Amino acid sequence: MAVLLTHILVPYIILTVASWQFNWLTDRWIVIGMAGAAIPDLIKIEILVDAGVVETLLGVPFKYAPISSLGGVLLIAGAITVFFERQRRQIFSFLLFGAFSSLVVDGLRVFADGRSGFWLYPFSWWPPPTPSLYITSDVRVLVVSLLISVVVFSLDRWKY
Amino acid sequence: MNRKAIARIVISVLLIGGVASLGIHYDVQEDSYDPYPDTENLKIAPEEYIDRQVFVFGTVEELSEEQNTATIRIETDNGPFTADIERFSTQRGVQSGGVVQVYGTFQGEYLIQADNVRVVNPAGSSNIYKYVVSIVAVILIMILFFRYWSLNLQTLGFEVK
Repeated sequence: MAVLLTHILVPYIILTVASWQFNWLTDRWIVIGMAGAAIPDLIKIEILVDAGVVETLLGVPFKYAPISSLGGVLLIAGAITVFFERQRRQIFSFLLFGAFSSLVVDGLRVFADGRSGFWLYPFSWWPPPTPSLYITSDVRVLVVSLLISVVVFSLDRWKY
Repeated sequence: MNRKAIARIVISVLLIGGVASLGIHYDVQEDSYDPYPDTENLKIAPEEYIDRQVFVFGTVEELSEEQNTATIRIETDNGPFTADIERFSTQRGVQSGGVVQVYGTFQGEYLIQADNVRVVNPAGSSNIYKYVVSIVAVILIMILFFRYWSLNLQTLGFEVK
């Protein structure tokens, strides 16, 4: 998976550019989209708590993979949304947009068999083909996303 | 903490429980849909998978540029095992400690003839870069979030500032 900073910059870029067209799309919504982009990265919890530990606790087989799938991000976005007082539909939509952008960005990375993982789970077990554009540890990916973000940020400030 | 806050916690726990259920379902069903044998099965019964296409992730332990081979450590839920990779293509710039994906044919006795090897982390230090950048991202998103949203501790609900 791409580094988290790249993940959150992608919705920043898309939503900021979109905000030039839609006045209601203010910074507070863009931030929600950026936060949503971090949802699939919650799979990193496996670094702290191994899946084997969860299996032992639950007494059944377990994998963290669904956290980084469509089904997982839908449920987690829902769990986060309930902690907002108002405009939950918009909150949920922006969280989902950010999370989906992360899944798509991850689906473009290098896989030796030419297929990304089961990130459409549980709606499909079909692993979409990947163009194998980058590897996670490639600094150039982050540099490019940072450069585009700086340009978009500057244009946004110049525009308003 | 009022009733609204308790309701929020209960609903979110139920939804996270749903994620856990997916985690169980995924692990039970994955083998039926994954075209490749599970690494745990490769470790336990390698003789059953001879000539099968495999796709594994592993940490490079040894490299031999002359023979174009490598030894990688593959993690499984039942502990790691090592596999030798033929046609490794060492010009990919990976070092010992780096992580690779290997797609190829399982030859038995923990030997894989690679069709394609792709580098995930060129070296063990690549993870440090990922963690540092991720921590920066977490700090950035927290600062930005709390610039526009504030938490009502009574209701455990976020409101626009």
